[in-house]
Amino acid sequence: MSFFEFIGNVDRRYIYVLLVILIVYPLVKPIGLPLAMSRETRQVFETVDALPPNSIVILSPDYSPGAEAELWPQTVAITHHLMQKGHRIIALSLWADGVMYARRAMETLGPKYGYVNGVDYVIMPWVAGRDAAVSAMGRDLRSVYTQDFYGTPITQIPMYEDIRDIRDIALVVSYATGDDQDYYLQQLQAVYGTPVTGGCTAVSSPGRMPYIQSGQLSGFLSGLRGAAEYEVLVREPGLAAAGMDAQSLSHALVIVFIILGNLAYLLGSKRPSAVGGGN
Amino acid sequence: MKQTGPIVVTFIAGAVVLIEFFLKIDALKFWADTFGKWQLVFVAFASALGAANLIRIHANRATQKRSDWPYSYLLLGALGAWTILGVLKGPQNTNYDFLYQNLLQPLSATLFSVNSFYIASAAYRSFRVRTAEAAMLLVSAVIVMLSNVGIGTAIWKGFPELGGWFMRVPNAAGMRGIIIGAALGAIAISLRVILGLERSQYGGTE
Amino acid sequence: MSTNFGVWLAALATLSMYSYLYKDNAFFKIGEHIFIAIAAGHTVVMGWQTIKGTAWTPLTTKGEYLWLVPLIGGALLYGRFFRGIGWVSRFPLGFLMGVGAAITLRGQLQSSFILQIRGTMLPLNSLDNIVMVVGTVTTLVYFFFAVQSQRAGVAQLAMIGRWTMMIAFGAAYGNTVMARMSLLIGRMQFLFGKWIYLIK
Repeated sequence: MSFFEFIGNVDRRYIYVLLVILIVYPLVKPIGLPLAMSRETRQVFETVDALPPNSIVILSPDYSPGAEAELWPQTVAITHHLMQKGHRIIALSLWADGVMYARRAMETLGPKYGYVNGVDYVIMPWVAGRDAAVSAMGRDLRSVYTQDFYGTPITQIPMYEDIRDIRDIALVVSYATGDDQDYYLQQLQAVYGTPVTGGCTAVSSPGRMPYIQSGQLSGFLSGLRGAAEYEVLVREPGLAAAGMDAQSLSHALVIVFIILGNLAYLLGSKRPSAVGGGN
Repeated sequence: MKQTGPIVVTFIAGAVVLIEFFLKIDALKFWADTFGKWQLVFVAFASALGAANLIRIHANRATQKRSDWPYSYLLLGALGAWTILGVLKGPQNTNYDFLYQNLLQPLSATLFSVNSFYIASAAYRSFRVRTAEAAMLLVSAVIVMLSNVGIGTAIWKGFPELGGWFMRVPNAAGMRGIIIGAALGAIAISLRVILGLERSQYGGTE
Repeated sequence: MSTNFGVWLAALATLSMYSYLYKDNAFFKIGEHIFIAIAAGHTVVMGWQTIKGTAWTPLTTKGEYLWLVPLIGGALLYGRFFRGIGWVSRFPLGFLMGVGAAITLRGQLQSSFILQIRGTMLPLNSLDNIVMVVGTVTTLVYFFFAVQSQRAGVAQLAMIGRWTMMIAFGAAYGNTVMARMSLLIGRMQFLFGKWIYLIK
């Protein structure tokens, strides 16, 4: 049996174990591989850094737990930056799950910076509709959210005294897995000129590039790497920076398998049975 | 009436919102704003349709004792308990938040992460370079994969910049073509829906 | 190892999902059915919050009776589950489709069409700009003309478009690998960091 036939017949569960080992080992014993800084991440940093003092920012974690590993570290990193600069935050989400992350971000990081609910930040309940919700925000922000997540009417929230409409929002930071960042671009940025930045899963990042090039999107964080870069910029290393060595080894494994598979094909071996044929 | 009524509703709702946006007619502003806010409530009702369908399917499965029927009772019980807790106490409730963080989040996150194992095992058998275009796809994929992580930078300092160029220029060009094409399609479909030329969403002859 | 009940619950939930990698089993099926149930339940709970906050409260506290329309209309959506009156659900569906289509149309037109075309209008004075313009135009040629047209020149332009898209799809695949691996890294950080304390 040739080497390639052997690889092709290995029970796929051994591959799974190998993958877990390659991921867990660098988490336990970090290797310290270098991390380059991307232009898009730096653009997000500069956009947040350039905000006028005491700006009001919409923070919109539009994701479910399925994307938490990539987007929660991004949420934390940018929230650190916003709070370091003392900006006021409206934490809301277009996703039913996202509201729980909005709440977690404010309640875990707020105390570190002395942030007070209602004064420095407010958490909004979920409003259904996604693009319809964003469109309604643009038309009349105060009528979309009439009370906060805890049921307090906005007329009793001190921070809301300075919010008349969407033009009082200095920036929208949207973390999205798919279309939701587009909704902010379509319904707010294109119509009212509200700047939009944020992050997305690595899967979505190729689709963000046209909006960066056209100037519609003011930078974005791409997946776990983007979160790691931002953690370095705001000097708050966290889960993302810790996970990049593991990311490296997992990528190396996939690349090695792709090369081996194509070598087997090109060298004319018998077509490998599905990896996992040894089940 | 059963067939044409909904089409008329679609036209009026869509036309009011569109015309007010493009022509800025003050007389329509109140109704455009109102329809926009009504949409939020309609979507909220629609979002629970999935749960209603789930109840219907699993109630049938449980009562008729079809395959895996005990799990259907588990599903219905969990759905009922969760909904009652959330509706009575609200998602702000500590217990709700505890269950969300320690049950729903890990279940969902883990289910999505299972894909990574399949990607690793499928990388050997499925990624075949049979044509020049497939080779281009592979080269682009490998460059982007290496540029995203430290091991690529350790192999060659130029990988991040090269990968960045791939993403910013040729990838952006290809994606832009797809975005524009998809936008044209979405505009065409939207117009067809508003004008009543697209009726498949209403279904049935009842 | 953690002694926190919540962490153990989360760890068991995680392991129930991963048990499928060995083979399908009851532990996985229990976790799967609970997940489907509570994910649907969460959507119902949040939807209820929206209905209560957006429509019910203004109706009952401020007398804004126009909210009766979406409240009744939304309820009619469930008519589809009852034999004989399924047709009533078409009216609220029609409203949903109409407003949704209008919002989509105006959003796509400005942001994804006009501004994207404007972004492509670049001076051809650098390699980047040339690649951007040529890549975008040829991709569109591929989508709109390659199948129907047999003219000389169109096929060549479409071929350049295909190559451009291969680069884009390759970038998408590379990023998909990164995304999926990130999800696994996140779960491993939890299992070996918060549950087993192997990661400092």
